[in-house]
Amino acid sequence: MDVVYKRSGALSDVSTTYCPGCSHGTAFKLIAEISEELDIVNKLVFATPIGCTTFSAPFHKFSTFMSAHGRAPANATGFKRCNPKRPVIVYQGDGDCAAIGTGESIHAAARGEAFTVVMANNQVYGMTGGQMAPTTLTGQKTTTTPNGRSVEACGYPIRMAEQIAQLEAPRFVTRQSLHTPKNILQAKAAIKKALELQINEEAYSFVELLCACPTNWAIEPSGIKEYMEKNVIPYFPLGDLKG
Amino acid sequence: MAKKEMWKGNEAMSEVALRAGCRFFSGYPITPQTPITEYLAWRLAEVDGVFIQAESELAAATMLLGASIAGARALTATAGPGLSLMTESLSCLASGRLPAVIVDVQRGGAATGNLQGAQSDYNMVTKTLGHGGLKGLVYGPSTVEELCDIIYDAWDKAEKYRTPVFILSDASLGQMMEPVDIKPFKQLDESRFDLPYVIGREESEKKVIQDTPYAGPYSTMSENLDYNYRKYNEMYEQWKEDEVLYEEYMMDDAEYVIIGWGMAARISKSAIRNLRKKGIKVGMIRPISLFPFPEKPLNALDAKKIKGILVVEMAIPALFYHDVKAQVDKNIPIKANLHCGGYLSQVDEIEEDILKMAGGK
Repeated sequence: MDVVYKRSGALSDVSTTYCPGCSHGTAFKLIAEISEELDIVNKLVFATPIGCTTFSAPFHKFSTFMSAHGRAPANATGFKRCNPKRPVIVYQGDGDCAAIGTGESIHAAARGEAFTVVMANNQVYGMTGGQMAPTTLTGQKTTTTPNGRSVEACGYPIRMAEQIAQLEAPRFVTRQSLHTPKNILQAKAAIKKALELQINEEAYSFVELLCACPTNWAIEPSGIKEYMEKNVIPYFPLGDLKG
Repeated sequence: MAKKEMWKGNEAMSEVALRAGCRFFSGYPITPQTPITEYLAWRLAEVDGVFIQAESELAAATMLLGASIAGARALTATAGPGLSLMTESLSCLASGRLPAVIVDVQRGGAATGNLQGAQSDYNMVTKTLGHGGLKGLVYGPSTVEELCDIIYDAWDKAEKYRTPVFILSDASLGQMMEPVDIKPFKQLDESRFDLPYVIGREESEKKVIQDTPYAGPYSTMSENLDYNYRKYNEMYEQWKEDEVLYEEYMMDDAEYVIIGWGMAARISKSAIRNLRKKGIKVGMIRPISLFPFPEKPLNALDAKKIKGILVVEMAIPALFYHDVKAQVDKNIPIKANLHCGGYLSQVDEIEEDILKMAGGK
């Protein structure tokens, strides 16, 4: 019997500790599968942020370095400039990438650093327990917007991929989602394209992934698809913005 | 002996850093540090090094971590408010035990402050590198030559102990021109790419480089951090035996002792020479390593022989003074001569303070 699907060999035997319905595990699975397809399991370097993926190193087989909150693109800049042969994925949450690390994110993109940023956009701070993120939707309730995010007090959520796409250096900028099998396959193709551009052309790419955080959205995991289509995707449209 | 050349402090330090193997610099322009950034912008390109003008000191100091993890000898330099922004990464370097060198070309005042020399960043780097209370080696040179000597060996120390090394220069030292021995190039071994904190060049077995030592013999993070930081502290204590540097100047028959570091000590030497001509037996103890602090020569000052101590420091409120006071015999009268904000120590004032002590006033 042919094997048509198996757990990626680039994932470790350790199960993730994420909440039911969380998208991080899916994103890791995609990166693991791509690393096998591109034969870079022992080459890929995974730069972690501060957030729910800070302690993700046990879940996969990639070399990893930690960064302070928001600084992963600067840390990865120093690393990649001195070690240009190792492919690097900078995996960040929306708070890390688009709030505390906005400066590092924009300038690494503007310089066209030869790494791939994957930004998990779940519209909330997961690790600290559900506070407002720069991507929190207008009206969305979080522990720091208990009556819902108000435009008067907090302005509008930031569309980070659009910010990155208006810069000259990034080669490929896209927003994908992980809420249906079809979208997961499209997201995989996007991350693979970004890594290939990095490896073959030393290009910077940015892949924003719309992720689910049912725990902090206060919904059942079974309601993710409906929530994403009704609330998230209308504000964060899917598709390629550049390249 | 090598022929000496006239160099400004900032440029001399940059050239010697390069010759010590530095191949990575990230910095953000800030007076009076900018000549270091400008010098290395063109000079690193000549030796296939990496130069990055960062978007902020936050990013500049963070880039050091990545360069260090890639096995490069990495440098940044800053001044004043830039140091405040760098403290996050100083904490990460110290906690992650990542070697790197940081130079603070100190300027006057807090906040935006002033552009002339000062010593007001002393506590900020000798007491703890950023949050968390950890340490690095800290040096306070007083001549361009000494600045060069220290930076030439800085990465050897940084890699030996896996620690950040911090050099406190200042606006005067950075901009003054003095004869220096611009040293030969050090040859670095390829084995550095196999070091435990380095992620190798082509491919490697999985390595996890953490800015916090979570790994250890225990099952909880708190137990392992307690265990690992205890070991760090043992290393800091050992530095007191192995890494203390200081100068004694005209101390053989001294009855009065000036204690200062860096530029304040250098200015005090002129006062000592003038006072000696007047028959006052005055000498100096000058800490060169500020952490580890030279406790022993200060502990050894004999109250039966020493009639007074004057601490000369370019910081108000006094910072270094309190470290000196904690180490010297309480029976020796001790005074401070302080200036700050870019107002350098003054030779005539120092002489006057010693003469007052000698006159019993």
